[in-house]
Amino acid sequence: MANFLGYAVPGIPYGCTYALFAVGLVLTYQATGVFNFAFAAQAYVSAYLFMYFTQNGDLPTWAAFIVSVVVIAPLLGWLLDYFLFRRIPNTQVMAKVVTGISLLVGIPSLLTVAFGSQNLTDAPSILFSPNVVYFHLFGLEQVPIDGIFLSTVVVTVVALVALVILIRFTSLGLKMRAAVESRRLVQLDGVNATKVVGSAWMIAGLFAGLAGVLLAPQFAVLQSQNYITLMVTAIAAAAWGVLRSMPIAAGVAVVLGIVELIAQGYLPTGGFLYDAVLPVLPMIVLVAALLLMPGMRTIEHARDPLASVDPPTPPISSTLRSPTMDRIIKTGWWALLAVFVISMLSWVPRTWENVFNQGIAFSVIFLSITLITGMGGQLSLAQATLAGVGAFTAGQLALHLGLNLLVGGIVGAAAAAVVAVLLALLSLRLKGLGLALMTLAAGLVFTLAVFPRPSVSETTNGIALQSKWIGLGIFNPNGRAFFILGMIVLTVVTLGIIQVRKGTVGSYLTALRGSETAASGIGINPSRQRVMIFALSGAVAGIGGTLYSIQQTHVTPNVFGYQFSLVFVVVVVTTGVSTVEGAIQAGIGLTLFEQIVTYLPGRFGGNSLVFVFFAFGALTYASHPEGVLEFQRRRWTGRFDRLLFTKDDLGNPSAGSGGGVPTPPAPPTAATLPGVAPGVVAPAAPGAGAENRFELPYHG
Amino acid sequence: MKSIIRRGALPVALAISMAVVAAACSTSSTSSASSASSVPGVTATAINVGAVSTLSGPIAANFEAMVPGVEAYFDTVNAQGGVDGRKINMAYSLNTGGNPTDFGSLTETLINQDHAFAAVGIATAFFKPTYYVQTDTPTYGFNVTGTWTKHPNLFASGGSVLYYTSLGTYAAYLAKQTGATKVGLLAYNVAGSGPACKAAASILRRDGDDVAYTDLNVEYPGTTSASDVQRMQQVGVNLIVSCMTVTGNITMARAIQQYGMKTQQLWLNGNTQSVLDKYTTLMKNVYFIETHVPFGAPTKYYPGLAQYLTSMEKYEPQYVYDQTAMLGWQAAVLFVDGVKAVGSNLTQQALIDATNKMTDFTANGLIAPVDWTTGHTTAKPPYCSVFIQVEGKSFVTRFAQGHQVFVCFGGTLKPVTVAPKAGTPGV
Repeated sequence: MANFLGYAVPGIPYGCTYALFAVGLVLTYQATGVFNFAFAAQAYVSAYLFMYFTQNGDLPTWAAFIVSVVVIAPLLGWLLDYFLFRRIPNTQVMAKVVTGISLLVGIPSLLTVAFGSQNLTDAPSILFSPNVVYFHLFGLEQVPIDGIFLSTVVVTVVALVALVILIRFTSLGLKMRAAVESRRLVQLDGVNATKVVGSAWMIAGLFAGLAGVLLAPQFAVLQSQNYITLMVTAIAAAAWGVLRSMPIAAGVAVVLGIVELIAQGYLPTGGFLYDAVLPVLPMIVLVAALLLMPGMRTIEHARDPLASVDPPTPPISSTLRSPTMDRIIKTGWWALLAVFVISMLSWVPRTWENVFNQGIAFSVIFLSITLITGMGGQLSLAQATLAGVGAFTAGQLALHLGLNLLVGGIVGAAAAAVVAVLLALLSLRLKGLGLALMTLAAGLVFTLAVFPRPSVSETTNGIALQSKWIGLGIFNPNGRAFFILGMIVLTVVTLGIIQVRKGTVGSYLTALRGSETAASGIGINPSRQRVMIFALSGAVAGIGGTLYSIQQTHVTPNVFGYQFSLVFVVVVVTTGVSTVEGAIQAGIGLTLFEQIVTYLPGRFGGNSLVFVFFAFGALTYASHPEGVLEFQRRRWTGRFDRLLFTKDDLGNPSAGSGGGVPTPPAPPTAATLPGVAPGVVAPAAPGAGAENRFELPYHG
Repeated sequence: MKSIIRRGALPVALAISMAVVAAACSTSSTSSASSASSVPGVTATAINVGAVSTLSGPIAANFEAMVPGVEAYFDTVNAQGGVDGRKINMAYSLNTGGNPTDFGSLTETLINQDHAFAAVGIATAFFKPTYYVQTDTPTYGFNVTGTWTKHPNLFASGGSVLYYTSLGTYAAYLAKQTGATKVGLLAYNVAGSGPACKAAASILRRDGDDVAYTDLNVEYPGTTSASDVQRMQQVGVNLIVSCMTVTGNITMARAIQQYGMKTQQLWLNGNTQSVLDKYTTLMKNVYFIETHVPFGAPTKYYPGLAQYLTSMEKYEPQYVYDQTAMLGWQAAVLFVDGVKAVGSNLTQQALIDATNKMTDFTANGLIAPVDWTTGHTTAKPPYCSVFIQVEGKSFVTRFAQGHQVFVCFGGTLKPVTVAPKAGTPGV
């Protein structure tokens, strides 16, 4: 019994911090309808600033705690609501998820840019010293209670009790509970729902800050990835409460923390359960919740009786150009492509050659996101994982059978497609948020338990690829042979995707994106189409993974980690998720930008600056679902078109929008649309062009 | 662009055809251009080198002192006029930031964009040799990945072969010296950690030691060691060999203290004065293995140490007692010795060739001799290291024979000491 307690009790502080995370997630989701993926980033910000102020700013611990947790954490929550989430209509589930993920990627990088690269270690424990054992529970030597334990448990209990009092016994709590049911109904009753929701964000922010600072001393070194991993544990707990019940979420979180430590104590080390299952226990719990909790399948169904007044998802902007402008642009692109290809094969320096080659490999991986998200309308957070499946399959086949990497790449694509199909079958009843969580869990399972296995990656450094496995001079220091290979692969994949889009599958998917119910009514099987697009997406990711590994001459486990799936989504969403050229621009743009920042002094944050750039681009997804880069491209070509080629009856450049297209009737205004708050401009009429498209902000 | 791509395969096929033709045409012109180029990074007055290291991120504490160690030696040499009238500059210190995908592109930047003459002071867990080998760039650094072997242009401090098994011999020797009967080993499943402890466990078992507990898959970078410590306590482990990082060791030491476990500890990382100053209580009596003359050795027997201490105090006082800085210093000494051996007609290949002729490199009397004629492929006995132990706020040498700090073992890897060979510092 003493040993059992010795293993179990150290799990309590972990469970408490999971509970703070879980309650914060539930609170935000309940009060605002936003599943806040940025919660881990908010926690990280508080922990970072807390440690920064104590170690660099020489603030006393209590002062740093007040600044980072009591002041900055709620303020950050309020800012996220004010500037971002309250402006996204409830119907835009994908936009909310993408915005959260962008913040998750961008905020930690922003800290690096702002404060420079530094290692924050040895976080002070609030209230009690981490190095002091204050007493032994039940007098047992096996159960020492140290300062980290006491600080965490005390603060968690106080915070949860305070939250219960706030929600149950205060006016604000009453309004928050009412806002959960329907913000609009509350507003009709004279309550300022915006303030209530803002308060919920601030309280959730405070919980994030508390969790962040409490967790910090438990980590040897502060890093944002730890918070992301722990957030998944908290999500698992919150999922068992169907993102609605705070007590269940908190209870499951504490139990999960304890069970993890008990398993760590009893499972035989070196065995499969210890090495491969234990690290992913929270993900298994999350998957179980997604599969077994009926409420998680209908999580996105609106419960608000006035939900139908939400404006629809904004249409993707489009621009009709004059034929002359169209010809010029097409010719320009071809000329650019020709110059690029000839340059790559003649004078481009090795460094930049490598940049573009890497960009081509990334482009292929990113095309898998075009398939799954742009065409399929599904958000997958496991594309880097699928790329890894392809790459490791090819690497293993080459290593053990001597199979050519090009052939192995095709087998790898098939393997990635199989994994993707399994994932699709597991997620058949899920969509939107549920699917994103399922794929995130899958990504974590592969990152923590599959790729590091010796049978997969061979060594801790992965598989070093050999020239004899591919030949053709692909591994030559000058990367021209690889460039040709990359261009061929990219072209084939691109043409394949275009054919899919133009074909039956593409048409079916378009119909499903429009209305799944209507599409089913005309005989389209949504499940079949979803499995199909997952398989295609997995295969493309697998091909891209192999291509990337050939370019790197290594198949390395840590480049296919789940965190890269998040980054990939953010990057592609910025440039354009609905078009193949968006994926190619994302691939080339990412590596190009990474190289450009090497010319900047290190204090600008290096690659962090790249992530910040793309993350902020992706934040515009709600208003520019076609990608902000794509939006700007269409906008500017439209302007040039009007300026140069579109003439009115008197021969003057046309002032109308959508070059060459008659100006549509003025869109209906807020005054003519019931339920739309002032300041909202309604969706543009078809063909209205980029300038007349739906514009946020939305004040729900 | 969408409309272009939609128009079909013909233009793309044309582009690819152009690519193939251009590739064929460009081959000869490139080779002629490269043959005409001068030595990269070398001018009449300077030799510019660089490094790619992990200077920030979760594992930076193990690597960040490497470049300061290199720079201190360069400063020392430059203060004496440089080599053949050229100053040696650490012109490009690039940081992977803890991001594994960045190492390759930063390497390309260092070699192709910055045109560094050599890479001196590479210290990262993400090292991949491919491009350094392809470009024959003289490369010097800290071998934690075990990927520095075979290639004649890769020079890891202390020899390019990571001989993990010798750790088992040192652990077995320590067990005998301290009377420990049961050994536990902890490591991460990452390069440089898991393989080292796995090999050590194998040697310990072969030697008849009781390896009572192993966990070679500790969560990295780790949040708790409570379970491992309790389990080792239950099976009576009285010597823990840790292949974890400094921070992992501190977490483990805290748990050992809290659970009142009585055990000896041998750490591979953490023998740095700044760490000891911070965690004096947690590190009480911990043993370490050094591959160089320890910082506390008598300088009258070890003049190389005196030079190191003096220069580091002058140029990099923050890193004087840092083992990684010491490795950086050794890398810089090897580089400079090679440059001196080449003379005025300095090229990368000449430097590699000259260095590979050295048979007893000791980094000016800091390490046991390394034979670079074979140092890329084999580690030759005797295997010599130094045991040090924390005593108060200092590291003191243990098991020394007189003023000879190195403890050496023969080729059988039995924990029986042999005499250091001639040329070993202190002999």
